[in-house]
Parts: sequence; C-alpha cells; structure tokens
Amino acid sequence: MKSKEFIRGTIRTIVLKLLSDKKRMYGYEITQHVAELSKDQIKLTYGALYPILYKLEDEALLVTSTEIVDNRARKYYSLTPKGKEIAIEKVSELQKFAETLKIILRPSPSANLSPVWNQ
Amino acid sequence: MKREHIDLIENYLDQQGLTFKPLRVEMKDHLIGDLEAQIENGVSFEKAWELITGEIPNHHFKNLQQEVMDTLNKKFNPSRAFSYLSLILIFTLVLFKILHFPLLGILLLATFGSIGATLFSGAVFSLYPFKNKKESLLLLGVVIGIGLFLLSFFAQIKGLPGVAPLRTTSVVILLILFPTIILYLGQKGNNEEYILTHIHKNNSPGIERFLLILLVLAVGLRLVSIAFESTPDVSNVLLFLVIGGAGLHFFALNWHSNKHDQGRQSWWLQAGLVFGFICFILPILNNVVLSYNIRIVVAACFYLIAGLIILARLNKHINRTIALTIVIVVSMFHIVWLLINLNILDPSLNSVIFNLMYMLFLLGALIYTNKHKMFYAYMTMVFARYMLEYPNQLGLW
Repeated sequence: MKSKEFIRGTIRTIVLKLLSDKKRMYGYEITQHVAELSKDQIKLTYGALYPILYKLEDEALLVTSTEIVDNRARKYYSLTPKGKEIAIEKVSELQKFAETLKIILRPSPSANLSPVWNQ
Repeated sequence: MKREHIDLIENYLDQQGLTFKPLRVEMKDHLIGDLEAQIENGVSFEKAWELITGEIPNHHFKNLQQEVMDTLNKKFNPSRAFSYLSLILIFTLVLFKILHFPLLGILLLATFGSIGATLFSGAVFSLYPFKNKKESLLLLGVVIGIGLFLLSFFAQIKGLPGVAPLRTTSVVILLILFPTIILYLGQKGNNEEYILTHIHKNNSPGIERFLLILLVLAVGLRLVSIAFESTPDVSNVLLFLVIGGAGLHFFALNWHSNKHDQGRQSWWLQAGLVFGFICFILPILNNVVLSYNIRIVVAACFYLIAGLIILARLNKHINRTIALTIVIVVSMFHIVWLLINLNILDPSLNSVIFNLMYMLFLLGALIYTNKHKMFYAYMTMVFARYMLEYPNQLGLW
C-alpha cells in the first residue's frame, strides 16, 4: 500500500496509536517504526509527518520535551491525558472503518466471473 | 558525525530556507538519523548524503515550514486577540496624544488592562495541557507580578494613591520568582522541556513583534514630541514598557540557553543571571523605597552584567569582535551617563554619548543583532533607554 491518498487520512491516527504504545517518540523514530510495522509499505515523508505532529501539539494532544543526544537536540513527543483519550477513540473509529471497508471490498459472489469462464 | 558533516547539513537547511528553529532542530536530527542508518549499512557518507537529499525536492523544507506556521497561526488564541487589541489601543493612544484629544487616561488604563489580559490569558491558555502544578504556579506568579507592576505604573502616571505598596509587592514577587526559575531550570539540567520554556518559546515571535512595534511607535512619537515641543509622557510610557518587556524577555531567553548550552552552564553564569535580574528589577522601585542614586547605579550594573552574559552566549550568527565592540560602546554609554548623573563627571560630557553618531551606532547594532534573540532583546532595551534619555539630556524639553 503505497498510495499517498490512503496514508494522508490516517497518519494522525497512526501517530496517536504509536505514541499510546510507547511513552514517547521522536520524529525519525516514528517514521522508522511505521516502516518496520508496515514492512516498508508505508513510508512517512517529512512533509507528511511533521505538520501533523505540530497540529497535534497545537491541539494539546501532544507535549514535547527536548533532550541532548549525541551532541544534538532531539525533540520527543508524548501524549497528554486528552491525547490518550483521543487516541483510543480514533484507533477504534479507524478499526471500525477498516472493517467496513473490508466488507465493501470483499469480492461479491455475483461479480465472481471465474465460473463463467470455466464453463 | 564529523563537524564538517554537521556544517553540510546546516548549510543544506539554510539553502532550503528553513528558519523556524524548533522545526530546524527536528529536521537536523531526522537527517542525521537517516544518514547514520545508511552509514551503519556500509554506505559512505557522501553516497548516503546523495541518496537522502536526492529524494527531497527543492524548497521542500520551506514549504513544510510554511505548513507548520499556518497550523500554528490558524488556531484562535485569546492571548493573540488581546495582543492585537493592545496594539490597536497603543496606536489610538499615540494618535490621541498627537491630536491632543481627551480620554488619554482611560485609553492608557485600557491599554495596560489589555496587556495584562494578554499575559494572563496566554499563561492560562498555554498551561491547559500541562499537569505540573509547581511550574504552573511559578508562571502564574510571574504574570501576577507583572500585572501588579502595570497597575502601579498606571497609578503613578495618573497620580493615584497606592503606588509604593503595589510596586514593592510586584518587585518582591518577581525578585523571588525569577531567580527561583533560573535556579530551578539550572538545577534540573538540560534533559527536559519545561512548561515555562515551552510557553515562552511558543510566544517568543509574538513578544518580539510586539516590542518592535512599541519601540517604533515610541521613537516616532518621540520625534513628533521634539518637533512640536509637546510633553513626552506617552512616548515615555511606551519606552518604559519596551525596556521592561525586553528585559523580562531577555531573562526568559536565558531559560532556554540554560537548557541547550549544556557545556557552557556554570555557576558564575547562574549567579550572573540571578544578580543581573536583581539589578534589573530594583530600579523600578519607588523613590520612597530606594533613592534615585542607588537605583541608577544598580541599573548601570544590570546593563554591564547583561553585556557579559551576552558575550558568554554568542552564536555563529554574530561576529565575536563586533559583539565585543557593541557591548563596550553600550557599557561606555551607561558608565558615562551614570557618572554624569552622580555629578562625578561634568554634564557637558553628555554630548559625547548623546549625538547622532552614537544613536545611529546603537540603531545599527539593534538591526545587526536580530539573529541572536538574546542580544536583540538586550539591544532593544539599550536603544529604548537611550531614546528615553536622549532628548532629556540635551535639554530639548
């Protein structure tokens, strides 16, 4: 699954989910984790990830903390209490949506033409 | 990563037009992470650099920055609304003053009220997602201290009673809280982001814009007052506000540097900040509490200490020799001014420090330092103070 249009609508929930699993993460770590979990099917670009992180921070769903690691500043993101509630809600919504999509996209018996060709 | 690799990344981010510091810090960390992952797989730095930057379109980071800035600016923020209201009120105040309209007192009260509301709503609004009660209380204490100062300032201008107790309470609150915060952040070290630094960092661009507009208005009104030989009261108020605001901003910027300049943190810098703050805040005390002579000595000490703090915290955007020259010239102004006002030097020496060349030098220094936030805040204070004294010292009023 490489299409940007599918990813765009779900990044927010993906980020919230990852941060609810881990106490805190930094930008690069999030992209690596997503790539690993999706077996390199989803690659988050800078332009896709960071505006979402800033938006979530602006909505008070995330807070940041900065640490000096290997002589450079690293910004970590973690969920606020409100962010944790929203994460549960959004993940549940997306799961339901994925189930619905699965039902819709399930091959319909009438559309299965193979028996016709086999005749 | 070698130093030259880091420089290459910094130059690349410059080329990409990425100037918003929080995002720049993240992009740098992300790029280094990508590069290190490639290098760990046996790819040379040069090849890894080519691979990674080859995937990034031109001005990608600039566009990303624009998107982030749009996000940050879109959301309704009561503090921002109050800051716009404050600016409108200040513009109206200046206009009314120039046109000799009545109601200046009410406008001034409304302006101070609006500035207080900006600070208070900004603090409360920003505190909402945080749970750290200690830091929240520290921040609210600072806002109350500043609010009491504004109230006492208004009472002083309007000749109302209660100036001394209000001013003294404000000074005591700020004297306790600011050094506490400096030491608190200093002790906690560099490893976390604190509410105070987070809120100040987010509001920094707004604070700087506000101070700049105030300074331009004050200087403009000053020139109008000189040209039309009218009283300089409103421009005095604005210049005092610039000095106070830029001073507090200067110390708040030091909270960030305490966190990030890990290697440079030392006890003398902490002590300098605490002592510098004491010297900054004591001169605003009323004459009844502290005599004029003591206050001007303390104020001069503040500018000298602040200059030293600046020199200890220079960054690559500022040339060290130019910075040293600026600090020396600024210090000379304060020392000569002090000695004249203590009647140690002859008042005729005012012409040495109050002249067009000196003013243009300070203005040039103000413009030059705009890439170093702390230096810029310092020069804003210095220029406002210079403009406050300039016409008085030359007997123009």
